[in-house]
Amino acid sequence: MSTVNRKTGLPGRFQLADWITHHQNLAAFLALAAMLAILPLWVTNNYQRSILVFIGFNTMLTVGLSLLMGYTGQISLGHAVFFGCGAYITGLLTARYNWSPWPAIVAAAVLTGLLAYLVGVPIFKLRGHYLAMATLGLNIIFETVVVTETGWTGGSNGLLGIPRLSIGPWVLKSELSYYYVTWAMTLAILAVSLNIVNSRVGRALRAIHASELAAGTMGVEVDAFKLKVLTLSAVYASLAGSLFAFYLQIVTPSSFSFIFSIELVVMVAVGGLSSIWGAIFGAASVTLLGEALRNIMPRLVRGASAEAELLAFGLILVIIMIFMPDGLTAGVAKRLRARRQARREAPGRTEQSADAMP
Amino acid sequence: MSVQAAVAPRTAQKSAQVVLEARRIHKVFGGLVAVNNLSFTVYEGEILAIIGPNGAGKTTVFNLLTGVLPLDGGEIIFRGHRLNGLPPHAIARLGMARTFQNVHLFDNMTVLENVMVGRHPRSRYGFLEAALRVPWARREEQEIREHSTACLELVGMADLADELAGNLPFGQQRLVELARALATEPACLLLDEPASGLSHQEVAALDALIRRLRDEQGITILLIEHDMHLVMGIADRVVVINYGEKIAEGTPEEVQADERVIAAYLGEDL
Repeated sequence: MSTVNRKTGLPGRFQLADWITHHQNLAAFLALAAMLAILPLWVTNNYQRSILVFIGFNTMLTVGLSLLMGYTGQISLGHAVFFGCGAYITGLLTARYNWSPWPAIVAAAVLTGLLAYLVGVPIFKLRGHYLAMATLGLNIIFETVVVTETGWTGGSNGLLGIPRLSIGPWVLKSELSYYYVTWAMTLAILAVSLNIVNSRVGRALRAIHASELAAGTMGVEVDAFKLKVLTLSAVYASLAGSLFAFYLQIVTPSSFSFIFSIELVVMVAVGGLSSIWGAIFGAASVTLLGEALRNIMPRLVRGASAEAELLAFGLILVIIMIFMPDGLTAGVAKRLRARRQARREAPGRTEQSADAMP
Repeated sequence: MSVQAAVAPRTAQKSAQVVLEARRIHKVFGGLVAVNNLSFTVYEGEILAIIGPNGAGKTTVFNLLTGVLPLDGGEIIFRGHRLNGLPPHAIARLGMARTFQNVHLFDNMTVLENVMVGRHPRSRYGFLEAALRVPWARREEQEIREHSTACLELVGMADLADELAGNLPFGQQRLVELARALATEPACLLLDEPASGLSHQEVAALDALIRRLRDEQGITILLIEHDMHLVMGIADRVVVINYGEKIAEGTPEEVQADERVIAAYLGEDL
């Protein structure tokens, strides 16, 4: 066994299967990283690669939202706004003020985090789902500001002239380079988030979700933790937004609409509310589904557009919340477990019923 | 704890140190006075029972002591600190822990994880250290795990460490909740009807466990309980409240003989 090996220090008798069971998260993480590294060998088409880039953006957003919603139980309906702040601040600093990309990314993350913090301070003094309300309002404020402040943001035409992302002298131009940068950032966010959920902090967040009363009396600083996790998820969203801005070189208000906020909530719900891994699954499947719907719906329904897509997402969300309130992945897993258990107990059933007979 | 308090708590209590003092605490819900200028003192190493008919305001007293509800009047002094206005987590850090009448476990977590949350006020690492898995955070995590396991062993629940807390029967959930409270290393432990819903054997085990906590760990215990057999056997002193007011205080024998107490409990066997 590897425990014995570790003591004796014999690397020759290292057993892979044993190591994997002891480091499930790390093993899964390494497997994912390896798969992502070689995926472009098969996905060679630029359109498909762009979808992978978008799945990366959505994963960053969904992982943060999963920490906030799934783990801590705080609903945000405004994550598109934090995403948008990241994109617009990065775009403004680089296109208008000629900042270089990486300081702009950091500045955007700091400012977006600050915004989330300032929203959270008064909100978390209140009990109940006020965060959902406040973030709902945030969408409206953001859209209004972006559309009317045309001098800064370019209004509904969008903010143009954002330069390419560069790393040192290397300017990123190809789909492939954005694919790697986006997923490197996504994996970093993933690693950090996995570490957080499997720690004292992760337990505190789940405790808050289950019972704020008990969490508080056990010494968990409930409001401070909510505030920190909201800020962290906003920073993730901002990082995604920054990369988004460099990738498209133009940001328009429509990318950060309320509809997108809802789409993100759907991704988290599909992925399973309290699962970092589920968040990737949710981001990938909903992004792909959205792409498919965008292609299919206009053929099915004449004149159908974004509204039809939203209709489908709304329907999915309703169905999942009714039948699998823990999310799609957790719900399916639970059902499979129940079925397996039922099968395992089936042989003993006759015996039990015989005992129960008078 | 002092040996003196352990050996002769009923007679030596006055010389023992004051751990907790409620001075004319007051709480009003709408027009209803739930706790009415109530004062009592808790001495180190004693088991103080708070009894009274249903709706007398006992749980409200616990909620005031732990900062779950704000005081409308009076003050609470705990180990030299004034608790007025402090949030629950700050009070927990000062060494006050509690269980709940209707058990508030974190159902979505395992038994061990529940107890590990109890280590929160005695550990420090936060988001950044967790995110980067710095060495001292990992050491602290190890300490959290070991101490929590020890707490589970103390209540006899170590075998079920990996079960989901929500799946356990009620009696075991109570024990997990107790272990979680113990993990905070409380100086003062508030137990809200710990025997309700337990079988006779479970109550007997609980009785022994509470005594052990007091005698071996030196924990001062405040107990709300309806099981009079348990209360009269285990408590050093009893405070009786009715309609939020203290109507009697003393040893179990004194309280049982008190006419106002008998009147309040008319028809019930004390």
